[in-house]
Amino acid sequence: MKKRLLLLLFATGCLDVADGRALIDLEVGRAGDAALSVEVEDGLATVRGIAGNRVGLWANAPTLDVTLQSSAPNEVELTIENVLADAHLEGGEALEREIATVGRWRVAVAGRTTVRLTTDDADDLDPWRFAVFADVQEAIDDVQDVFALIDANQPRFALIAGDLTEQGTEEELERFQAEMKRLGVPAYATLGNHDIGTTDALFSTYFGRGSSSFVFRGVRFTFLDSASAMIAPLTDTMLDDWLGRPEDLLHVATMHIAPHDPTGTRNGAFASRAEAARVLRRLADGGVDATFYGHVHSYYAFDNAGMAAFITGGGGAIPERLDGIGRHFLTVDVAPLLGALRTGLVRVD
Amino acid sequence: MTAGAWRRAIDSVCSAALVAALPQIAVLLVVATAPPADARALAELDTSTTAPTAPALDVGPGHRALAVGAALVPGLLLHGSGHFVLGDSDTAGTLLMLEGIGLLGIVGGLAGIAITGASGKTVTPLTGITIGGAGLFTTTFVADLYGVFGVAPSRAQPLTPIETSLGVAYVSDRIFEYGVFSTWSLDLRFDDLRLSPSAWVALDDDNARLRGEVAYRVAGDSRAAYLDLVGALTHHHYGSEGFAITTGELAVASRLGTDWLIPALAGTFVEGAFGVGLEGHRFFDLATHSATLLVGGFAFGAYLPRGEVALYYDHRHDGFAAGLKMAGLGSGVGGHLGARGEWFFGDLGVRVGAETGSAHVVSAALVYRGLQ
Repeated sequence: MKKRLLLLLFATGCLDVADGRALIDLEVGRAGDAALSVEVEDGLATVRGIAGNRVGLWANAPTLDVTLQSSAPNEVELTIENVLADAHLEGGEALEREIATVGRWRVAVAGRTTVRLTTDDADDLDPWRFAVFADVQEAIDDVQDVFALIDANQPRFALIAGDLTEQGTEEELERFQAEMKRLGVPAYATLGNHDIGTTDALFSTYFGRGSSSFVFRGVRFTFLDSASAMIAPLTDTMLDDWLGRPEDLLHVATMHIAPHDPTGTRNGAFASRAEAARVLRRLADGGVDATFYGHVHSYYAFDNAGMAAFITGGGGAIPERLDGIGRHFLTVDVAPLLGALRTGLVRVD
Repeated sequence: MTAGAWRRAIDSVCSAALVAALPQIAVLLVVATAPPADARALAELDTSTTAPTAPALDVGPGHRALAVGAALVPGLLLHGSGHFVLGDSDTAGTLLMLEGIGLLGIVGGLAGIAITGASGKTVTPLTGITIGGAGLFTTTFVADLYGVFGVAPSRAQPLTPIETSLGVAYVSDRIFEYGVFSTWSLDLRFDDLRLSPSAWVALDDDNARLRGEVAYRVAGDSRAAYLDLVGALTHHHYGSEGFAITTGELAVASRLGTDWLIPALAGTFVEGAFGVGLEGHRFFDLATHSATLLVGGFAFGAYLPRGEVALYYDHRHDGFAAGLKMAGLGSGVGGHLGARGEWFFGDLGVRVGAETGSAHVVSAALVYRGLQ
């Protein structure tokens, strides 16, 4: 408690509260030693374990490029959690799956070997669906209610806009991953302010980067770490690589704390209105079509800087009262060739 | 040393000085700038009303030093401890009672926000209660610490029909490119009405904040005690970033001498303000959207023989300092902290200020007041 108070006092004067996590992001997806090492391109998966000839990853994107390097010819057993049920590994021999979202492959590694996790439909531009939810926090005991309905709505995968846990402890993060094994589809996450309750590094150890970007079926997905009510300058520079790519037919940005709260007097939003406007201007100029947020435990559909904006904080944490929303998540139907996107509100209770 | 290194150094200095030791620094500032008793008597000759008095406590330096220590520990938690050690149990009791009311406000406000899930329908008044509680809690601590130094009280400077300032400011911001600003302000008073245009214009970037304020004095006729109804229109142009924020706001703002309730703290004052604003965010050639803004805050200050100093909390999330950056649960909620002071030498004076929030801001200006 005393330590937390001291941290709070000093934190109030610091302007760099998100820098540490931005730096940690750069190390995500790399591990190992001279005997065996692994590197995931763009840090789109975190290394959960590497020992002997076994490598474990937690994917935070549906497709991955994984490079394994061994000092001697080796047969590596690669386990990737949080994958699509139909994902296959180009360059790997599939082993039997016990859980739909946990894939296991045997990879012959000679020197530097790159394998690719992908699906048959990764480049398909037909309409498809994903889901978005956030703010489970202390309601982890009831999260299967949400997961069951997500599965029932048949999205390809889900996005989590932060606050998976109440305090970001190891136990909570492990519990969330354990619960996710009963979800039929993978869920890719960024972190929320509750998830950084202990240390900066813990969330990325379990779930991967707070800020990342990938493309799937004609849609670019960009996660931004706004858990400290700001975007770190380093993350801001990473945006340059993710914005304004003409080949992206649709672009969806997801972060936990919205730049602007539709109820401005509450300010469940960025600490600075000017920084918020600056980020929105960048996203809008960079061709982002829709933004998804959490943090506020309700559902709001609004407009920010001309982009469609949705707050969907209905994962189960103390709900906003007097609004008639309660637990919910969103389904998002996208038609990349039309550049169209349509959301649906799914109530859990 | 590179510009970035300078900026980081300034960040560090501001962080340490303005936040970790903000109350202590302000109290020491007041004590250090207060003249000895004889000089004080001379300085008070040019004031217009009877000097305030505080009950005299005959204590030695050792006793006072002990009281200063007590105001810090256990005074950080038990406000009034310093005065209790001084033997002024009336003041100690009042400070403790006000601290309790402040705590009730904080706990009640936060509990209300939690119970309602920060409902948009109730969050504005509940936040107001929380800020008010935080104001009482904070100012009673600072007041206890200030009071035990035994600084002889001074009174408020007179109000003048015209007051204008010209100065410079430096904004240390890691996100925006601007740094150095020229600042200007004007206060024109006509009976109960005050008109106050002001401007901050960047000298190294395409950025300017223009503000016009109209205040009607509902009660009070001096700088020492008043209740104002304040309307303001602010336009902040971020040319380099391609947007502008225009804000209309309405608030009540007040100041009251602390001796109204606690005679021993004569020469100090508290301020409180609360209101709402509506912002228009215009993204050039792109789109416009609106947002509401909660404005308000609290301050504790002390009059000096030639001016005044104050510490304050401002809940605004716009402007240069905006809201505090905090990791974790409190992210985005808090406004910024600041300290300000002004000293007059006849019609001329100096005004300095420092704020910390999303950026660190320091400012200094020459002030002219006229037509007394």
